[in-house]
Amino acid sequence: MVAMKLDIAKEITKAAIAEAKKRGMSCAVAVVDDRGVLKTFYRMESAPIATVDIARNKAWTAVAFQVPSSDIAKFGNPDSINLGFNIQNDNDRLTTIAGGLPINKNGAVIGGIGISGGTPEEDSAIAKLAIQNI
Amino acid sequence: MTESLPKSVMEERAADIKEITLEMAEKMLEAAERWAINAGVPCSIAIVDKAGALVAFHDMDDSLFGTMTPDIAISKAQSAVFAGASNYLLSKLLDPRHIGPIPGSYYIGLLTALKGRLNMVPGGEPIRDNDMNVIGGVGVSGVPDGVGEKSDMTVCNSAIFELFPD
Repeated sequence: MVAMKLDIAKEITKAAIAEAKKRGMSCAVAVVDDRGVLKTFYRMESAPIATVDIARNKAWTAVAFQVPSSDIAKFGNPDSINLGFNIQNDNDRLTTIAGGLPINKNGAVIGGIGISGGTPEEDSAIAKLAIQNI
Repeated sequence: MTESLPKSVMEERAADIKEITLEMAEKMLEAAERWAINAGVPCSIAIVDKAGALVAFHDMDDSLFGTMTPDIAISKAQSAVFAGASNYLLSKLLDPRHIGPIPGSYYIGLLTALKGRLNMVPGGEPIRDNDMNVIGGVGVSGVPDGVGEKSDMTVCNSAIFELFPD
C-alpha cells in the first residue's frame, strides 16, 4: 500500500506554492512517493524549464538517501566518512543541490519533496514549510 | 446567410488561450481525474507546455502498471508536442504492417530517438490554440487499453475538452 496518497501530495504542493507566492518567487514542486516515483508535479508560471528535472531530482535524491539533498554534496568531501556514497549505483536522478527533503509520517519515510526555482536557501525553506504539517 | 451558419467548435472556445497556465493545467487534470474515477481507471496524467516541459502531473491512487506510468505519461505528452500529432497517429506509423505505402513509414528506426524520450504509443494528444499552433500536450498512462471507449486516449481527450466551454 503506497502511503503517499494523492490528497497528501496535493496538500503539500499547495502549501509550497502558497509559501512561494508569499516570497514573491516562482518554483517547481515535485512530490515523490517512498519509491522515488513521481506522485505530483506543479510548475508555477515563470519558473523556467530547467526547474522541471531539478525539482524531480532533488525529491528522488532525498528519498533514495533519506537525507536532505544538500547533504549529498558532503559525500564528495575527502574528510567525510561518507566519501563516495554519491557515486555508487545507477543514480540517474542524483543531485547535490539543496531543496529536496524526505517526508516523514509516523516514523517512516513516505516520500520526498523537491523545490527548484529560487536560491538554495529559499528552496530549502519552502520545502521545509510545505511538509511541516505532515 | 453567414449569420445562421453554426460557429466552428474552435471559435466557441475561449478566445485567449495562448499558453498553458498552471491554473488551466490543474483544471484539465481535475476533469481527466473525474472521468477516470467514473470509468474506474485510475492512471497517471501529465500536462506539458509547448517546449515539452512538464507543467502539472498527477499519479492517481491505485493506478495500474506499477512505477512506470509517471514517466510514460510524461513522455507521451512530450512526444505529442514534438510530433504535433496525436500519439495514436504515431502508433499507426510505427505499425510494421504499414511499411511501404505511408510516407516516412520506417518509424521503427526512431524507437530510441530523442534519448529514449520519444513515445509512439496511444495516449498522448497535442493541445492547440485557436490558430492551430501547438501550445502543449497531455499524456496518460495506466489504463489497460490505449485506444477505445475506456483508454489512455479518452482520458487525454477528457482533459482537452475541459478547454472548451459548455
